[in-house]
Order: sequence, then C-alpha cells, then structure tokens
Amino acid sequence: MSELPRTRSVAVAGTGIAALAASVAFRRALPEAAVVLFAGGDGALDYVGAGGAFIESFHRLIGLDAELFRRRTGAVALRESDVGLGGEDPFRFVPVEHVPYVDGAALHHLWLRQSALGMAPGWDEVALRAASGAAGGGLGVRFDAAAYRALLGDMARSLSVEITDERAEAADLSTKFDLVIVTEPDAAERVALEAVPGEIEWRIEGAGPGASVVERVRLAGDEGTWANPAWSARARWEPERLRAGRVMQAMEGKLLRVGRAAVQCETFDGQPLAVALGGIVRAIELLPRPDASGREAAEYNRRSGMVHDFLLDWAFVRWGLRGAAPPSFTELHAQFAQRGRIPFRDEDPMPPGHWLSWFLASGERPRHIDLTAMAMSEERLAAVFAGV
Amino acid sequence: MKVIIVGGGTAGWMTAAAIARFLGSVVSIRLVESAAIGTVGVGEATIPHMRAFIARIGLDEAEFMRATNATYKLGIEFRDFDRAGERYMHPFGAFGVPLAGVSFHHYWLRMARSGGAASIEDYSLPITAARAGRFAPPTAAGEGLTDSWSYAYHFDASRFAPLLRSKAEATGVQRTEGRIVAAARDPVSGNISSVTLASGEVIEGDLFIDCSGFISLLIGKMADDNWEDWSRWLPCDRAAALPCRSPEGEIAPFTMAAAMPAGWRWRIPLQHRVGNGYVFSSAHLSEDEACSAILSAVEGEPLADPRVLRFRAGRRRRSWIGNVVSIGLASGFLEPLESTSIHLTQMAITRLIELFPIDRVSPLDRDEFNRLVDYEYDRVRDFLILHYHATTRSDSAFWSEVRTTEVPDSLQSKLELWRESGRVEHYGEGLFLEPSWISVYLGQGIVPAGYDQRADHPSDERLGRALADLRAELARRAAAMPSHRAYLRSTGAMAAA
Repeated sequence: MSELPRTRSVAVAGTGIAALAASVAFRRALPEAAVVLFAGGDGALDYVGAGGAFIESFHRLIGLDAELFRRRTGAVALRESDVGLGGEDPFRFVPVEHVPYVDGAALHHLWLRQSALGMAPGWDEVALRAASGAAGGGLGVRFDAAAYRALLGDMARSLSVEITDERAEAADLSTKFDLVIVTEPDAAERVALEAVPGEIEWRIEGAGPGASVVERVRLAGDEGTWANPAWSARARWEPERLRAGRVMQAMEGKLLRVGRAAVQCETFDGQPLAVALGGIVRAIELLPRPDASGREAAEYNRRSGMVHDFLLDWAFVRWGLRGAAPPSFTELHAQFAQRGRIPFRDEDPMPPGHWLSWFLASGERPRHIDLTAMAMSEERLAAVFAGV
Repeated sequence: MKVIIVGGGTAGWMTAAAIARFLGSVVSIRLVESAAIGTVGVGEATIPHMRAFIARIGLDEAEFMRATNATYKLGIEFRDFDRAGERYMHPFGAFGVPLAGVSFHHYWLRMARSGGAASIEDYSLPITAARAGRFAPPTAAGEGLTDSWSYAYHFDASRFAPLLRSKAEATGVQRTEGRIVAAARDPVSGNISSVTLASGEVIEGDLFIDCSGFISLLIGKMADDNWEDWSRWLPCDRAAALPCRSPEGEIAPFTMAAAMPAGWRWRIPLQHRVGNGYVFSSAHLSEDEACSAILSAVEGEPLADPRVLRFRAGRRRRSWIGNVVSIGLASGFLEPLESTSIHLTQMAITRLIELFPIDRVSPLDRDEFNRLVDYEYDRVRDFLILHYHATTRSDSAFWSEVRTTEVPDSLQSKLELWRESGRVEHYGEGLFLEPSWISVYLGQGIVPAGYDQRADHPSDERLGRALADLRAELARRAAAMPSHRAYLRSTGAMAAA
C-alpha cells in the first residue's frame, strides 16, 4: 500500500517562549521533519515568566527534566496568591483542582453550612488542605523568562532546529514549508472581549529569590503590580488600546496560530502560556497530513475555540470586572450564584476548583446551600473541619 | 419537602434509594406503586457506570449479585452487523496502550495497512478474557495494561427493584400501594399539587418524580408537543422478550447482540437463566413473526412465552417541567443495543440530586437538568445510529433502509473525522469515549484512510515486535484469570442454587 504523505518541513515564526516551545515540540513529534525557527522581527518578548500547571505536562512531552527546568530558570511552584483588584481589600486565592466531595456532599457546601454557624475556618485554609493532598495542580510555576527562553533555545539547537534571525512573512513561508506556525497576532479575523485590555507593558523591577515571599497581584486603574518569589514586575495598559480576544480560525490550511496569535489576554497567573502550550500539544495530536481535506483543522478549531473562550472568561474574572461579561462566563457564573455549582465545561483550561475557589475567595456566596450538605449530621460536619 | 415518586419499577426504586441515601434526613420520600401494573423489567445488561451507582447507594457488590443472579460483563459482542458471518466486540476498555503519547490504534492502523497486524481485538485484554470465558477485575496499580479497562453486570431486573426497595424502606422511604387515577394541578403555577389514588386517598407533594414508564402518568400531562421523535434513525419499535434455560458450561462474560432481518436480538447470560429478545421494526415484521423468530433463535429451553414490548425511540424535549421530573422510560427510550437504559436512569438520578430543589423549584436548576439530560441522550443516540449506518447489509428491506438513512450532522462530522484521519472526535464528558467508537468503527468495516503521522516513526520491524509482545502479554494475562463461574464463586457473588 502506498505511503501516506507526511509533514516534512515546519517553519515557526516568532521570538518568544511559544515559538521556541513549538519548535522543540514539533521537532520531537516529527523527528523526520526539518524545523526552522524564524526568530527575526519585533515579536512579543516574554517579560514575565509564569506558566499554569499544564507546563509540567508539556515538559514531560518534550522531554525536559523538571529538575533541569528548576535549576536553569529558578522556577518556583505556587499554591496560592494574594490578590487585590480595583482598590478593594485583597484576598487569598488558593485553587483546588477538582471540587472535593465528602459523603456525597460538595466540600464547599459543607463549609458554607458550617460558616453560617460561625464555626468554619477560612475557605483558603480548607482549600489549602484539600490541595495539599492532591498531586499537581496549584497555580503552576513562576520563573526567569529569559533563562527559560535560553533553555528552550538550547534544547532546540540540540535537536537540530535551525534557528535564523531572518525576518519572514507567513505567506512566503507557506510556499516553502508544509506547516507554518505563527505566534504573534496577524490580520486574521478576531473576536474581541471589549472589557479586557489585551496589551500590557511590563517592567521587571526585581528578580531572583527574595523578590517576594508570596505571590501578590494588585490591579487598579490602568496599572498594576505582580510579584512572586521569582520576580516582581510593574504593568501598565492603555484602556483604549488593543482589546483581549481570539481568532476565529487558529488552524487554516498550512497555517497554525498559537500563543498570542490565537488568543490574547493577561490573567496574572500564567494561564495564557499554559493555553499556548496546550494549543501546541493539541495541534500535534490533530496534525493533518499535507493532503488533508481540512476535517482535522475543523476539529482543532472547534476545540481551540472553546479553550480560548474559556480563557477569556478567566481573564474577565481575573481583572475583577463587572458587567459586559462574555455569555459563556455569564452562564457559568449563574450556576455558581444560584447554588454554588461549577458546571463541567468541555475544554475549559481552568479546572472547576479554580473557578470555585476564586468565587469563594473573592467573597461571593451562592444563594443556596445544597441539601446534600444539609443532610449531614452535625457531628460528622464538625469532624470534616476538625484540625483545619 | 415532600417528594412523591410515581412508579416502583427499576427507575422508581433506584430513585428512591438514591435520594434516601443522600437527602433522606432533609426530605420525606413516598413512593406510590401498584402491584397490579407490571413493570417492563428489561435493562438486564448494563455498562460500567452501574458499579459507581451500586457503591454510592451503599450496596455491597456481592450482595447485589447474589440477590439478582448477576454475572460479570466485559463488553458486547456484535454479530452480523456489518455483514453476515462477521463479529466483533465492543469492550469496556482500551485497545493496547499509548506509545509515545499516541493512541495505540494509530500504530495498529499503520501495521494493518501492510498486513502486519493481527485483529485489533487481540490487543484488548477484556476481549481476550471474554472470548476465553474468563474474568477478573482490573487492579488499580496504575500500570496501563492492568487498569485501562472496566466491567459491568448482567442482572435480573425483576429482582433488582425488590432489593432496592428493602434498602430504601430501611432508610425511611414510605411505600404506598395504589393506582393513581387523577392528578390535581395548581391553577396559577400549573404545578402538580396532589395525586389521587383509586382508593380515594389524596397524596400531596412538593416535587413529583415520574417513574411510571412509557405511560408517563404525570409528565405526559405537563405539556403538549414534548416528545422528540428519533424513529427516522432508530426505527425499531418492538421487542419480543423470552427467557430460556442456561446452557451447560461456562457463563459468557459478555452480552451478545446479533443482527436479524428486521432488527437485532440480544442474549444476556445470568446465573440462573439467559435473557433473550428480538428488537424489531413493526413496519418490517409482525409481532407473531418476531415471536416465532426469537423462539427459533434461542439456544436453551424457553422458560416462558415471548412477551412483546412496544416503544418508540426518542426523548422528552423537557424531562423536568414545573415540579415534575421524569426519570427512566417516562423520560425517553433508546433501544438497548448498547445497554444504556439503566445508565440513562442512573444519570438522571445523579443530576437530580445535584440540582435538587432547595426550597422550591428554580427555573435555572430545571433548565440545567434538562440540558444535561438532553446532552447525554443525544450522545447515546448518535452512537446507536452508527451501528445501523455502518453496514454493508442489503439482505432485507430493514437493513437497506437503515443503511441509507441520512445521519444527524453531529454523527456525520464524527464519521468524516474518523474516515479521513482515524481520529475520534474528542469530548470530555459523555458516555462513549475513544475505545468505544474505535471498536464499532472498525468492527463495522469503516477503516480510515489515514492515521496519526507520529505513528510512522518506529521501523516496521520494531513496531511489529512491540505489537507481537503486547499481544502475547495480553493472552498470558487473560489465561491467568479464573473462569467466570469460578470468580463468581470465589467472591461470594453466586446465588444459592
């Protein structure tokens, strides 16, 4: 039987972490393909080094040792963050991966019941105990972005990725390569999230151990600060400048958009990088052969569209905004507001426990406590929270 | 809150037992049933999700199996669906193990193109064990081959409801014997306020759960035009059921479904008998002809006359209207080709508990319940249609028609993706995931044109050796399992003779 056509050449255009990560990942996945990284131009630099929990899975996929990553980049894993939005009182955000259950009742409903009696510890303490028993998850890692770029660059070179500082346009590349990956926004049709700024100017003000003992995020007006044990940075944005948003088609013919080219927003927790890496992995899983009809691209776009919409939902909530919410966020929030429920959403990059902990930590309370929690005996309820 | 459950078959008592388990201390539960009204009593075959339900309501597995003469089930064998004489199995587990992050079936597709692979069934532990009549549960060792599969049960549905009833009554569920003759509705809200029994007793409630089966005593009154008919895709509307004596020898740890000229027939081995039935289209076969056909087809001595059940494929557009929630056959019906009836009941119960009214029915909760139920029914529907669509049979009017019927768009997109690339449309929540779709696609002759190009990398020799080693290891592991009957005895699951 005749051999099926294969992707023999991959061009990656961009200077940032997403471009380097794509080069390495595609080189690993397609060892017979030539991968060329066109690193020229003024691409977005990754000023802040932050990656959501998925970065660990990505590293396993590309064969990057966790200890080497930590040693080279000073990476620090975080389980909690101190967040202040719009000048309001800060709160402690401790995400859990899944919504924990005890005897058929959701833990947070038991906590709400116990809290109403004034007998429960803070949700942050409860979440911290639940999270500490679970593998992975948390807020991901913070690291030195320049060191991470250097590490990925070293990996790329050791894997024989050709790196050139030649500036290249995607249209030109598509005549020479089977697959062209871009990581910077282009002229593709986009869906904008009007409420959320899409472009941030960063200034690193401190780096290395001691920049901050805990992670602290403060946003107010048109500026903010983000500090953590790996670095501290100051952010500024112009409200009327580029808005957050996503492209309609992340994969089109030979062209694949990942990172900021596909979805642009800031969430102050590394999720945009995690989503970029997830997009690379998804593209590898669904990579069409050069003669494909577009059915795999359609599947990629279907799934990516959901991922990007839900990331924008997360960006909306992370900015502490009110009103003009994306419809998908409104639906999710209505379920929480009614009865503290986080509905399952296929392809949501944010685990349900992140949404839950965010809502509770920021002071929101559902209108009702589930009857399953009310059914638990007082003795059993007290035992659940004993020792927290 | 007063909860009234109408109907005491499998759905009614499953609902009662589950609500009593999780909400028994904060709601009152009353179940109304009439011994004079029979139950459908099908749904003897299940899928692995049933295990979680048994555990959640606090039933011990061995106790459940003894009480219902249950057997273990590793999958469903389909015979003659693609063409006469062919068979395949839908296993409750994965084929092979992923290699370098790529699903096993892509490597198999590559080797199959050059004739270098055995049947894909040889790379499935549950299939290999099932074909040998062996059974052992998966272990939780976290190693791909030992925990990438699951199992379900075959059980006697007529014995399940009494078991659940005893559990439910012990936890405070009140049972009322009686036939409902009327339901009163609040003139303002339209909600049901009470039901009246033939005895004249009036039973008031806040939430009514309609488990009355096809008759749909309450939900049927709540709205007109509330039925979404799927008979254009799933034309079977009758089943002729017939129990027979068990044959000598080993108990098969799988359900068998065989294509017939106007539908298909099931064979469900229990400890004490074998359940059989012919699911057919009345437009293509009379009830008498179906009864004759099933009598001819069964392998053991019939234990009763064939009993004909009538149904129509589809679901309620809204399973929850006002303060009436329909569960089980009152909510919808999909033929038992993939043993999903009990699961759909179980799923609705789980969702209801998750969205249980707190002081009164919230439209938000109700709409979410309906959305979730629709989602699950629609997914199952597409999977069932695939069995009829992916066939080369043209030996009867029935098969010619179902083969050429246009499929729903949601299934068409799945088919196109598979045909082109060997990829299964991804979704995170839903009943049938990648291995299930692969088994039916390949089992019914849809071989994709391509596969994941990452599977191109190992040399033919290296990949061939890996596949041969895997096949041998699975055969070794299956051979080490006890026979199905021996395992039933060893765990105390075998009922007294």
